[in-house]
Amino acid sequence: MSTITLLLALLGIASFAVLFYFLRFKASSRQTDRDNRIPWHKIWFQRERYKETKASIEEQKQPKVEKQSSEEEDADFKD
Amino acid sequence: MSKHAALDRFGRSGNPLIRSDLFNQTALDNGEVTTLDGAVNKTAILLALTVSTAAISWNFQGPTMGLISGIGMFAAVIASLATYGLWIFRWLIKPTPHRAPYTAPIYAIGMGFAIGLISEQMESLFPGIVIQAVSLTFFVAASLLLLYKTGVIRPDQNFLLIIVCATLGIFFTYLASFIYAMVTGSSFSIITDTGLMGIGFSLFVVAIAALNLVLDFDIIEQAAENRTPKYMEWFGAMALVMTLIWLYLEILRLLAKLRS
Repeated sequence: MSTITLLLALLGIASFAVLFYFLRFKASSRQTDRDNRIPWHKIWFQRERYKETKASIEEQKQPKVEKQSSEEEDADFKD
Repeated sequence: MSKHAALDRFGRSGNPLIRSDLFNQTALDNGEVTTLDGAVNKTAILLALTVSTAAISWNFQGPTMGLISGIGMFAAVIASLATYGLWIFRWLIKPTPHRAPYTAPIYAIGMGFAIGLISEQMESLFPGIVIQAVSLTFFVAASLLLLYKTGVIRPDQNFLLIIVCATLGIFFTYLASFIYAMVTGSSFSIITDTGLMGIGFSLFVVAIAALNLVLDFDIIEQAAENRTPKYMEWFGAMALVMTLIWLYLEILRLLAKLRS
């Protein structure tokens, strides 16, 4: 094994350790606190969010619809 | 407080999807969510699978292994298409991130067989090249991770546009070269040329592959920040492993050209 290959192998091991160590840390505020970030949520996460939103709206609508229908029945009865 | 709870939550817009702040809300309060640790673990699992299958195909050369590698590469392409769709052309094949926990290991195993075969052939031609390529791949990845985490490189939509256009350009160049090779029997000289043009092209491709890593880090970071579902860990890890494999193959090609 040549010297350059050996040096590169050591560099590779160190880089591997650095990669897997720092990947666990949250990025700095300089990276995260800005307005022009790539909207990955719109690109990849939209479908999941849409499902959750739809389910949430339907869940909240459910009791209201029941209440309204009973009021309407009362009003019809009075007329 | 409005009479309608939905209005308090989403505002007056009729369509909740056009409210940008909606996406910043907690995705799942009860279910498991993406974490950076989880994404790192999944990346390690996928890399371990790739290296294991690469070791098998490296050690057991022959026509059978060639066939297995071909099938593996085909399976990897199908797995990546099943997960990411055609992204820009999503009307053709839609991205389905929830499939990532199943498709990511298939991709890693399939590509492992293929890169094991390629690496062994390169190593027999240029001894020591594989160690150099692997080391440089991790060196580039670690450097870009530090630049990303510290905020030196801050990817925005323009950055995304440039990288996606360049990546698509490279993809179509390779595709055209592949079709040309199928018809004429020889590929584009810019890809295989060992002169300045060929080395320059390889350097450009390595740079674009490396910058794709920044996008992968950003996907993982934002998936964790936005508390997306757990399967996004596999999705982010798969994206990272895909780019690492691409970067490794391009560095391997570049080193081979330099040695030629």
